[in-house]
Formats: sequence, C-alpha cells, structure tokens
Amino acid sequence: MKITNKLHLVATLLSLLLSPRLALATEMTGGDYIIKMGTITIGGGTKTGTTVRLTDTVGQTLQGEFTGAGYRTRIGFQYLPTTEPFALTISTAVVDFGTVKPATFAGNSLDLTVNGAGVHGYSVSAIEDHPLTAKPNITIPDTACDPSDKCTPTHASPWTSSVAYGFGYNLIDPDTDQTEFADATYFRPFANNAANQNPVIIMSRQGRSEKATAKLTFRLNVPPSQTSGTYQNIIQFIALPAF
Amino acid sequence: MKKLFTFLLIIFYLLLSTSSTHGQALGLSLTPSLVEVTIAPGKSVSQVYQLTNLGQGPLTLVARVIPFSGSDASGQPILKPNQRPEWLKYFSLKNSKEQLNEPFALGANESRQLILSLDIPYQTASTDLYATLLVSTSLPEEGKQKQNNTAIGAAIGSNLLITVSPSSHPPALVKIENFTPAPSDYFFRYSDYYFVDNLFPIHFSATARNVGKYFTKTSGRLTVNHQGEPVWLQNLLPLNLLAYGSRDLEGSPSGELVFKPRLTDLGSFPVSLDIKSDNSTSRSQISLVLVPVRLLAGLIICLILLSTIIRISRKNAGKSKP
Repeated sequence: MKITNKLHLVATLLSLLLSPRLALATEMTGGDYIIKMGTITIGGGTKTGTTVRLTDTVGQTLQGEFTGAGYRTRIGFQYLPTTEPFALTISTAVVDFGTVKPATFAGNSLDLTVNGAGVHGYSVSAIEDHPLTAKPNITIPDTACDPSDKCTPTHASPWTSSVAYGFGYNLIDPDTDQTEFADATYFRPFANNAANQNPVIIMSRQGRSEKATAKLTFRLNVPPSQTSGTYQNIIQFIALPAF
Repeated sequence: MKKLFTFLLIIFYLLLSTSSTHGQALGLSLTPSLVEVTIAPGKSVSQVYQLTNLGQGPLTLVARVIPFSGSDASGQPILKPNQRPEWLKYFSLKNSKEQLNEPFALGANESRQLILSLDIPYQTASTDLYATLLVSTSLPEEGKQKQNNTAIGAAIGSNLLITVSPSSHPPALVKIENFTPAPSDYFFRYSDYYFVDNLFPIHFSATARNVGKYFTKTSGRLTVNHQGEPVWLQNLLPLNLLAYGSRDLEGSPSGELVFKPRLTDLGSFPVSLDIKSDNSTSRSQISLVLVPVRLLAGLIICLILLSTIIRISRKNAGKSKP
C-alpha cells in the first residue's frame, strides 16, 4: 500500500514537471507575431503582427499592444484601465404620461447611468424621432418654453407659464450642463430627427469617470384645443466614450 | 365554467405580465471602448467585442459602423450617421448569425461576442479612418400603446482609430499651443513671465495639435524648475490626436495640469511642457515669478491694524491722564 502511495507521488511529481507550464507569461511569440499584454485576463496594451498594429483599453478580455504581420493594434486605455466595461443604463424603456389635462403640466422622469467611461470621459446625446404625434398626423409641438426667453434644443430657459405649450425636458446632475439647467424650472426641447437636427449632448464629462447618474424629467402641456388621441414618439440616448 | 375562469385568469395574467415589461430598465455595455489599428493595405485584422444586455428583458439590437470626422477638444467623437463613405464596406462581422446593419436578439443579462473584421484592399491609399461601432436597440413600433408615451431607445459605441499605412509607425508631427497659466491664477504677465502668488495652486492649460496626416498618441510631462533643479513633475495623460486635430492636454491622474508651490517657493520658476509621440516631440516653456502677494498684503493689513490700535490706545491713555 505504502509503495503504491509512493509510486503515485512520484508519478504526480513527474506529470507536473513534464506537463506544459501554466500560461502566465506576459509575452507570447509566434512565427510572425508578438503579443505583449499588461494583463492577461482582463487588461490593456498593444498587439502587432507583420502588417498590423492594434491597441485597446477598457476592460476587454485582452488589452494592450499587439503586433502582427502588417498590423499593430492597441486596445483600451492601457495606462489607466477602468474596472468596468463602458455601459449605459436607463431606468425605464417607456415613459408614460397617462391622461393629459389641458393647460396643466404633466410629466414623468427617468434615470440615466453611465459606468466605466474610462480615462478621457464620455458623452450621452439624445434625439427624438419626431415630436409627440397621434394618428393621423396630429402633433404636440416641441416646447419653446416661456415666451420671454425661448428655449431651443441647445438652450434651456424657464418654462413656468401654464399657457406655454409643448413637450420638453429638464436635467439634474453634475455631469449635465448646469449653466443651462439652472434649476427645475429650466427646460428645452429634444433635437428632432424629422427636422434633420443632430443629436444633442445632454450629459458628459471630460476626464476619468467611473459612474455618473442623471435624472431627466419630461414635461408636457397641451392647449384646450388639442385634439384628443394617443400621442407617442421615440427618444434615443446614445452613449459614446471619449478617446 | 371553472375551466373558462382558469383560462381567463391565465389570459389576464399574461396580459399583465406583457404590459409590465415595457417599463423595465434598459441597459447595454460594450467593451473594449477603444481600438487603435495601424494596418498595411491588403491585410486584415479582427477585434472581439463583448456586448451585454444589462436590462431585465430581451432586446432586439442592430450593430452599425458609423464614421466620425473629428472630435471636440476633449476627444468626444462627432458622429456622421448620414455619411456613407466607401470604406465602410471594409468592415464586417465574422459571427455566424449576427451581421452589421441586421437586427439580432439578445436575452436579458445575456452577453455575446461580436467579431468585427477589418479587411483593407491592396490598392487602398495611406489614410486615417475614424469610426464608431454603434450597437443600438431596435426602435419599437409606435401606435401599439394605449397611453400617451415616449418609447426609449439606447445605443452604445466603441471608437475605432485606424491608420492605413505600409509603415507600422507612420510619421507624426505634434505641436504644443497656447501653454499658459489659468487667467485667474496670475496677476500680470510680462512677455513669457507670469507673476503668481505662491499661496495657491497654479493651473495651466495647453493644447496639443497634430499637424500630420495620421493620428498619433502623445504622452509627456509638466516640469517646474528652480535654480536648474526640477521641483515639480506631473505626467500627462496619454492622448489620441486625430490627423490635423487638437486636444486639451490633461495631467495625470485628475486631468488638471497644476503646480502647487510651497510657502518657501519664491522667485523665478521656469515651467516646461514636453510631449512626445511615436516619432515626434514638442516643448513649450514659460516662467513663473512666485511672489507672496497675499501673505504680504495680510501682513501689511495686520501691521496697519496693529499700529492703529496702538495709536488709539495711546491717545486714550493720554486723555485719561489728569
């Protein structure tokens, strides 16, 4: 029995010595490429082949510089990698306004969260497909806010008058433009894709950002003459990392 | 009757559960968020992206490659979704099911790898290509809801900076522009000499400009010297500079370019800013003259107050004498 145990021990030691070593090296070489990585499991660096260069930076399975035949790649922010992947979360997929009474502000809100934006920051922009529209083609126009200071997709202004009608939004968060949205009475309309407008940045940060949250409040007000119906539109939020 | 009631109960439950899904949270993550490639004509390279549905419900998604023409000074890409340059056809997904510009499904909390391939034709001229891999939720059909509402779509991007060149390190030329202390941090300026107070931190701003035709990555350092010796060093955050583009330089790790003098730091302090890219360097230099202005002002005010108090007390003492 004891001899069997000793044999097992010798066999185990031999197999460990003879088996291929664990792949812990940070450099791999092949016929025509070298891969050097800051981290093997989740990391950053440069990849190169005989014709390529590649560099990636944020939380991917391989970060770093990789060189191959005819390329070099760099992936991620090698020098200051983030701990999380770049992510956008929106607290709801549909914002209901319920039954809207004329000359009375209606509204609802949602939360936007951005994670893992990396060392240079991020932006979130927004655009609507068209103003709130009911069949056959009746719209609630986008708000112009109070007549004394008209708001636009890039300029927020106070909207307190119950006879100022339309659809718009307010934002509260350090990463939103607080010079635009001075307080909860400041609103502006969404950029309108149907009018060939470009998405407008509603939230951004220059420099490292691990997590940012903003509360977006929608506001809707219709005149007594507004035709009754079910008014709908789509708003798209686009999150982009800076490079 | 009992069967009918059970059937109605099931239908009611199904209707309720379906309508409750539309208010669920929506979330997407995509990594890596930056890929830089230098590639020779006639070559191919692939990059694997990890896409995750962070929401509580299944999503229909579309992956697209959108060109961008440049960025603002902070490196935010300016997408051009309506542009369709010829080079977009160099990109494809090597997945068996998912294709660019075609919808695909992704379950709740499910992840999928997207293998983006870039195939550069032999005859392609040397150039830079800037694009974003944008994955967006397929927008819902309007008119199906019974309420006034806004449906929400989410899109997430990852940037691609590509240089097509036979050389793995194409020539680059970078320059520093507008290196100066923040206007609120100095009293006055004479030529390249800035008179500053040594009680407070001095913030700087500077721009790096790429005057070459290929994007490049810069790194560098801010150095403050005194009597020929460095007294303050701050590394710069590495920046990607697009061809003919410029970016605000940022210090590591906070993003601020800043010098925090000590109380004993007085006199002339030359400040140099150095940046380097693969095959280019640039230097810009200014001089700070550190003066204890606020400290002196405080001392003078204290002395004036003290002398006034002494004078008043002497007067009072003189009056009180018989």
